[in-house]
Amino acid sequence: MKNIQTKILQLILLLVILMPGIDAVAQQLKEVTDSLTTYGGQKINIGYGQQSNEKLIESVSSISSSALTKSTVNATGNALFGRLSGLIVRQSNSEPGSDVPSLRVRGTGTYTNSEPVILIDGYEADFNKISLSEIESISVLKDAAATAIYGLKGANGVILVTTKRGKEGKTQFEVNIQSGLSNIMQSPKLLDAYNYASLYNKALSMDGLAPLYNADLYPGGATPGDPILYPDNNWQNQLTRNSAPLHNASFQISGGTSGLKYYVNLNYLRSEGHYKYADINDGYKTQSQFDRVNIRTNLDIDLVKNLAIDVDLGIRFEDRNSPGTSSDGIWNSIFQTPGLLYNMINPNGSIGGTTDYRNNPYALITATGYQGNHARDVNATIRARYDFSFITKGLSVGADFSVFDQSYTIDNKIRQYAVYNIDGERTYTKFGDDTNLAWQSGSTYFRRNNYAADVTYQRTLGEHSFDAIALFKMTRIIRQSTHHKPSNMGISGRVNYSFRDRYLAEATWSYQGSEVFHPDRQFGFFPAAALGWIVSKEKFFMDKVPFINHLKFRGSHGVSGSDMFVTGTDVAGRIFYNQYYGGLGGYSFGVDAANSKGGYGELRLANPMLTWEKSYKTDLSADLTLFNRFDLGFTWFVDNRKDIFTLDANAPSLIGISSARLPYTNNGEVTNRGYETSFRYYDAVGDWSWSLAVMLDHNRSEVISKGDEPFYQEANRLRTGKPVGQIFGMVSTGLYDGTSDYTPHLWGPLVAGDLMYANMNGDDVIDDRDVAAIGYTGIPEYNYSLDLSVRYKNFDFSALMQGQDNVSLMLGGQFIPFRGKMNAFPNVFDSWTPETASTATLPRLTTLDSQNNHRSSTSWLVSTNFIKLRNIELGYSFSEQLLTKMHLSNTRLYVRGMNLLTWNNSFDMLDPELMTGYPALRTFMAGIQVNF
Amino acid sequence: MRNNFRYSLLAIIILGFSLNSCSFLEIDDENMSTRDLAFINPGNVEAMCFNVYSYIPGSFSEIGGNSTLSNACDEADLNNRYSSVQDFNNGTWGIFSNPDDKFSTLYAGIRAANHFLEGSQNLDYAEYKDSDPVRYQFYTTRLKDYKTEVRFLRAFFYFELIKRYGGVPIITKVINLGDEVDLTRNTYGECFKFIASELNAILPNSRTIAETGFMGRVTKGTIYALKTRLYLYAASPLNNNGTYNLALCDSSARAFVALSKLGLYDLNIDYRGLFLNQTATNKEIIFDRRLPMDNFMESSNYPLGGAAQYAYNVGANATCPSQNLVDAYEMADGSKFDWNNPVHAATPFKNRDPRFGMSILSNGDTWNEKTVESFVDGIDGLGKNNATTTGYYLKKFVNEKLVLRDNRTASHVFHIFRYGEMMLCFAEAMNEVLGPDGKYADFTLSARDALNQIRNRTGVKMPAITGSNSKEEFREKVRNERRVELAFENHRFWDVRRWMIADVTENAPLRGMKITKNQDNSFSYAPNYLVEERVFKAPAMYRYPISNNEIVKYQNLKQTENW
Repeated sequence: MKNIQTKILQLILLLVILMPGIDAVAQQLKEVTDSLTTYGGQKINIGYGQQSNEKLIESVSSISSSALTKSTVNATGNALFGRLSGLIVRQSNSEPGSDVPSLRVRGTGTYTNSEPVILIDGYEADFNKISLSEIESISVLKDAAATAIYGLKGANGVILVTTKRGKEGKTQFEVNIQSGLSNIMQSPKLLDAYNYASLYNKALSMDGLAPLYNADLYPGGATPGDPILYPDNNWQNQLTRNSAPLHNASFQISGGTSGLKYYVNLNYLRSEGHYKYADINDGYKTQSQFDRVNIRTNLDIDLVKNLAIDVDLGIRFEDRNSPGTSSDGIWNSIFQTPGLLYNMINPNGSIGGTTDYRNNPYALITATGYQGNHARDVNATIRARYDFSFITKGLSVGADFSVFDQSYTIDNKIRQYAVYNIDGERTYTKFGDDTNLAWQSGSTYFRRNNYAADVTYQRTLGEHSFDAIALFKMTRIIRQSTHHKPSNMGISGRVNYSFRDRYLAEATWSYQGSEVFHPDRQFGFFPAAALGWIVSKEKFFMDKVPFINHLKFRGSHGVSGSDMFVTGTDVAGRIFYNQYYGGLGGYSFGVDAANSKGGYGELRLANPMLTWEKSYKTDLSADLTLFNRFDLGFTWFVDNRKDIFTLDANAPSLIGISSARLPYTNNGEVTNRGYETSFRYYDAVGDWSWSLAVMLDHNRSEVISKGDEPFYQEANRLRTGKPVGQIFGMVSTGLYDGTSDYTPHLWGPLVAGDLMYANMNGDDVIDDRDVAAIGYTGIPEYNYSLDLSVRYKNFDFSALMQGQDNVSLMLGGQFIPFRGKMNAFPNVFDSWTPETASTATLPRLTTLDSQNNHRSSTSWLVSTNFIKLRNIELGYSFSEQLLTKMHLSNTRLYVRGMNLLTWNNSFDMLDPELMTGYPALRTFMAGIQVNF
Repeated sequence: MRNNFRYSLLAIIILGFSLNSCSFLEIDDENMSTRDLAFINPGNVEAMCFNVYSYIPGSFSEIGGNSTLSNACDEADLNNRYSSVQDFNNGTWGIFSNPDDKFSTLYAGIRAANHFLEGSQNLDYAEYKDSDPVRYQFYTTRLKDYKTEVRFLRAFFYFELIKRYGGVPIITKVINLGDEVDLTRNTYGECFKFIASELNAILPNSRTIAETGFMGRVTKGTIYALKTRLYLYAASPLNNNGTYNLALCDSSARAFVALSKLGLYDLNIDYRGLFLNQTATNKEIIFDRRLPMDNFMESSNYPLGGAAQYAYNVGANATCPSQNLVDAYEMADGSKFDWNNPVHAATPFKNRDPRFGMSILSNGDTWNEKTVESFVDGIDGLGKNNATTTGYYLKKFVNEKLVLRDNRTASHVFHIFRYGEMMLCFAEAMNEVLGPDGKYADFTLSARDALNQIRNRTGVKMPAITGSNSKEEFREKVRNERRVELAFENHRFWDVRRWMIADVTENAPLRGMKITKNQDNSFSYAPNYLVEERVFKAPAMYRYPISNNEIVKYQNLKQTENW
């Protein structure tokens, strides 16, 4: 924790240096601050309604369009790093069009599915595919009061995306064009041919094996030989280009009359990948490429008196192209293939390779054909609302129908290729065969139908205000190739009450059912309540402490549920309450097993008592505004998840149920605790105005019980009591010197340079029973960000830094030097050899698998903490006088960069955010925005 | 108009709230089968029986996906250092990892069998009795067969369990979660008696010959074969405090007499073809794991240096026969091979028991159109990637000249019971009961006769064993014959355990043959070349432990003794 504080301090110092002369000007400035004030009556979208920020007593964080559009991204989630308190965004792939991040609200509350539900304008849809330009705001609902109304979908938090709508007035146009490029943030320093050859030989000799290479013959060696026979490929340099283009253009029209309001958006995005040689094939490209067109039309129609109709239509078309080999396959091959094995391209133009090494990375990019993917999404909603104010004021009734419809088709042409090995006489040996392009196709279809109806009542009577909603909703999913249709239905409601605008109360509930539970116990009830007190509105307070503009205490408690752990799509994958029978392993009889007979029997054992997970959430918060310049927020929360869906892995094998057929139970409990703090400072002096926001979230989960945990005798092995996803491994105590006494290791006698481990259970052998919780989990416990914006006259500047702490990664695969003969990362130099015995931190170099040294241990554990400069933007807006002459209302030029820098002190091999596959990218954009 | 709309909207909402919620959330699982449906359909009943077959253990890659137990005993070494089979050799197997842990698989098979037997108990196909007598006859006859076969398989699974773990809990009904049961380990003796009584009970109902097209089904011969082996194993020193139990030996020998009197089985005239011919002409097969044509054995074991179309990506999982085994092959004249005999030592691969040349490839043999060069620096020599680690290659089970480049495949026989092995079981048991030359009144063969018939197979024609008149001397002859005749057939691993000689044989270093080519193209032989030190911790390793995980999941289950 101290670590974080120092980092934040460093960050603040750094940014202070970036803000020259803030104190110099001392003149108050007008409306600029108003736009920055948090409690200026801003409305926050909450479940099925809106609430003013001032009177909000639920735990909700929210951002608006202006912050979102500071990013240019392929997937919406990538614009959210560090922007929303309580939301953890993690990127695991950066290939254009496949770079959808995973999201967590307040970390991990369960060891089953913990992805939050994402709703666009009230209904579940794929928000990563909509364009940033069409989004009005994004809210994250976190506590029980905010999520209980979502019943079985609320436990993991809810993300609400609201799209833009037209406002009454003259037609507004906005054109926004951005163009730029992306490049690879960090290329690992892999061994060159000379170093690989000499170190690999060294490792072989330490294994007692004959050397394989003559290092002197490679470039950099004492007597370099024929470069055709002794090549030195740097695959990264040879196969990746320095920059790849990225473009985004949007055109928006909005406006309306009292009877009809409209919003129209057209957005085009193109994002390209970083492969060289992607154009060498006739008729097709093998570049990784993503094209997307978004069209949105939101219409608000007052059809007849008292009856309003909304018609929303959002459509996406996407085209993806990539080489015939997956990006993981290509990048693994680029990183893992030693550079000395063969020529990328032989002198005669053929592809280099040997019988053992055929995955020439150049061939994977250029000679395996291409993969195409064409997708279409439709998001259509019709809402009708009838105003019953003539019966009683504030009463209205609504009915919705909404469809999310998604399909894609695969259009691949794949081929295989031959590689050729060249020898000293320039004769070629062929391995494998060149094949013609073979077409592969496939398609999917998905549709979610939503039906909803509600009654709302909003009324203020004297000092009492009411805001109530009762809601009925059903949802059904239709997919290709299954008859089963996952369905949910239920009713829910909420009553908000405020007295004298400062005593706030809310009760909310839902009664919801899911098709995955037994008909006798299908529906669950999820209630929650919240209370709030705006102290700063009390007379006694306002008089005594006028510099406190806003002080509010609030708290909530309640329960929300989850059936989202059932991730299957058909009856066999979703219905666990009936015992089903079906095809199992069979047997073959006759000569050469020609008479093949299918088997049949019990499928997964049923559990008719299966029920939903319950999340009991408690939140306590305080909000404070001082001197109209400082906002402070603090929230403490605890989330107790019960009845977690757990495979009954502790059923003894004697029962005779293979692991694939074990039943599910509700046998687990997790508690997740944490806090969220925020600080904001905003002011304006003279031509200057600025705001500085700092956010720090912390959460840590604890497994209270886990039904599938083996009954370990040793406390050090227990997952219970540790966070969900805790990393376990051996505790290294150093490298063996070859002579001392030691506790025997199960994996054979130690030789010098082997890892020694702590004897955690105190018996007389080091074995699997000595593993312990080491490091943290793969999801950071601390997430923080610092967001600065400064405006000076027509210039605006903003910067966002985001960091994570208390997060770990267990290295394996290629990060263990020479494992599987792969090229090595720089940590190969930390390995033990007789010469480096005094400084080595990693076990002895070897070309063989070592059961003792290569198992998970603190020696292979790294911290993936980082601070990233996520976003930086500089803009210039032309003066109004100039624009008015040109009939423009606003024109702004800007440049921006994303993911520009990473600071991390623990790891220097690859960007800690993306350790495998397509590496992390840095983006530079320039753009122009014109409004008229 | 406006009022109508207003009311219809209200009506929709009220309808929504009053919707019978169950109908919307009701699932349609008509395409899914339940227990009742499963036992109504004769096709499903058949498939449930064949599902039980699927739990029969055994294949050429059953250990770690690339090995058999041959590489886990003194027969051979797998050249793949990463295979889990090596855990047996370096002594790291145990309660946390056991590459041959079949506990859950076999109990899954037992559940499938119990489930079948319970569900079919009251099945009588009465609905067909009058309406369709032909079909009735057909279904009921088949059901009788299925029940017999499933009961056999359950007994076989128990045998496979006790051979590994010693006594295990006997479970004869389906246990469901939440059932109150108290399962503890029965003794080895209780299990053995249970298996024997099951086999006796099903014998009268069993078929003598499997239906056409169904080679590989359980028949009467299979039942006698398991009986023979079951009694012999139960009679062996491991299960009788270090000596043979003569009463059980007698039962084993008598089970073989019954098997022999069926008159269905005989020694295959071709020793090499015995392992490559799955057709009915191979009279020696009693019960085997039916395998489809493939080339796993060829691609795993071919020497690197064959003609290019054969030696295509070969040798990754080669079973490399050990010098320990090679030394056990006698000279063709029946004398013991001796490295101190200069004639033997000069040409160690010449004039050996013909089964040596039919089971093992050695330096100078012709294979895949090339000469095997397993000498150091030879094309197939020691130290090369994917080459032998012992100087020898496996030939048994391996078809020659299979064009791997075109992914050609061939037949292999994975014997579970073959007649030759049964004869050796008889010889071993009979010798203990009545000595080498004693005979039963109603059977023509003595132990010596049986052994000599094996040796006298066409193409083998090893001289008969004469002399060796004491039980002890003859016992050693039988054991060496088993080692040679049944090499690589998954017997040695168990034999060294039940004879309780593993603490000697499995602690001895695994040796190979280092051959050096001299200037004059002659060869020098170093038969004590150390391939690897081997570890066998007696007495614990004579039986498998139950995995630690099972013990902690179900604490009634006691760990195997000494673990």
